[in-house]
Amino acid sequence: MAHASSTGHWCGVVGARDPGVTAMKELGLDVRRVIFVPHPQAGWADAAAELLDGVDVLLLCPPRNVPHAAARRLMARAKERRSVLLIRTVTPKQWPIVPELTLSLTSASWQGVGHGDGHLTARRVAVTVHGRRGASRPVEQWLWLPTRQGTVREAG
Amino acid sequence: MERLVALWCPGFSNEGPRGEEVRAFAELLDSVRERCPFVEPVRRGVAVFPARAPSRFFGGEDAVIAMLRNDLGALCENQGTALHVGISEGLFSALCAARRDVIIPPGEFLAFLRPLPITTLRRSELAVLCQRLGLHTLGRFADLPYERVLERFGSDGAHCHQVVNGREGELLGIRDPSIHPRLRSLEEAIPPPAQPTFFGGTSFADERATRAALRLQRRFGSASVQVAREAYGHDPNEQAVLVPFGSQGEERVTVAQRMAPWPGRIPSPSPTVVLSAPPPVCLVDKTGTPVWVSVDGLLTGEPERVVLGDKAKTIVAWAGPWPLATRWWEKRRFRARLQVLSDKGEGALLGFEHGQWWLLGRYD
Repeated sequence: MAHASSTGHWCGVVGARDPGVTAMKELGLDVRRVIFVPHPQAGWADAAAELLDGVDVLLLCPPRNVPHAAARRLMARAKERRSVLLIRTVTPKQWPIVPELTLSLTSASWQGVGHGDGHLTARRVAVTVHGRRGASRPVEQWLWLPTRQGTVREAG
Repeated sequence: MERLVALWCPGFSNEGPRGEEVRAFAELLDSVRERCPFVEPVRRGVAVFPARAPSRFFGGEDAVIAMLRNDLGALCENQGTALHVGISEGLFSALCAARRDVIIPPGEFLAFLRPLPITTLRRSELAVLCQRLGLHTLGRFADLPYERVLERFGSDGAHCHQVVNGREGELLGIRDPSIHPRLRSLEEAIPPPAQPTFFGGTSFADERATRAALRLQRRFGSASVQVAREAYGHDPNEQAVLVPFGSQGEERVTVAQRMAPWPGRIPSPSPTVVLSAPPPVCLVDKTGTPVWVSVDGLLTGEPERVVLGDKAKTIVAWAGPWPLATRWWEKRRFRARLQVLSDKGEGALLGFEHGQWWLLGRYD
């Protein structure tokens, strides 16, 4: 999303309550090109569909029960518009259709704080990537997310 | 300050595709000009003229209003617009008076302005900041010391402060200078200028996104579709605010303000969730005793748990507290920030103010 927004593409965020805009800026997003719909309530699927018409990357944070038809319709629209649909869920099962790629945060540890001293500096996370096709094996990658500056970087 | 008569026809505020509204507005101005030669358009649908001479000529301010309604009643009815008229000192309060169809007695305009909501200034960021600080009316904002307003809200905020205190009569942003060439173009039969766009020069992507956002706003309401605007403050929830897409009248932030280091800023990385309504939480040590921040800026104990409602998380590490500048208009308020890390690796930002802890954000 950072790359897209900084190269003139628009992004949308649907269903993310209280987004940390400064954190997004630190990650490199050009927030001038991000449209937020934080509280779509029952109309979240319609809001997402509408935004897919106008943006190139959409981050959707759906509620707990996602009807199969809504998921199918949104994924089809994204494919048709050649937009990227990112879905953020708490568990993988929350989205009823297996996506092309699934990224899971499997481990996370913060650095920098002690007992009153320091401050949260960086977080080392493990991200596991699954492909859709059964044959491909999941790949695990360690990242700094965020780094001290709030960006993302590979970790050793 | 000069007393002005303000006229407002909401039906003429926006221009339709055939430009009828501007033609009707021009006709209205012509009609008023026959009685009051100093009438001037302020923006689409809004006109003002000084009250003094007509008031003397027609026998009082009430008589002036009655005359206007008599003259313009038929025109407005045919065009399907209401007509609102008000009289007060200065353009800002005269317009506020017009919105309410009232004549504010001479010398009472400050008292009239005081209870009006802070949103009357049509500045989203300033309103959001003020509302967060508990300043919901123009009066409360007016009560702040000027120097501090300048420091905290910048030069545009200071200008607003001058206006609500009656030291300046005209709020910047009310006037839309494009009305003048537009009215002139009627005489010369020149086509109206293209719709203003949100970005300086638009690309196809900008227009596409704007159209989608506008469609969403029509469907879900304008408040539900938002974009980020930079703001200035200590907390991440003050550094950027979400405002409705397309809100007009935003103050132009100077380059100098953008570059100024904001004292007491929490170091990056910033929280990924910034709560717009921070809930109160309790911070306790291992004996269950509440932990505060002392006046020396130190924690009164070692925090072991943070409790939100009926949920508690165990704290394994923390950083701070960082004291922030006390709010200078509330003498004994101490404010501080604390980062905490739970045993599950979750980071959070807590704020201590009004003698209480609040959950300000999470580092997800």
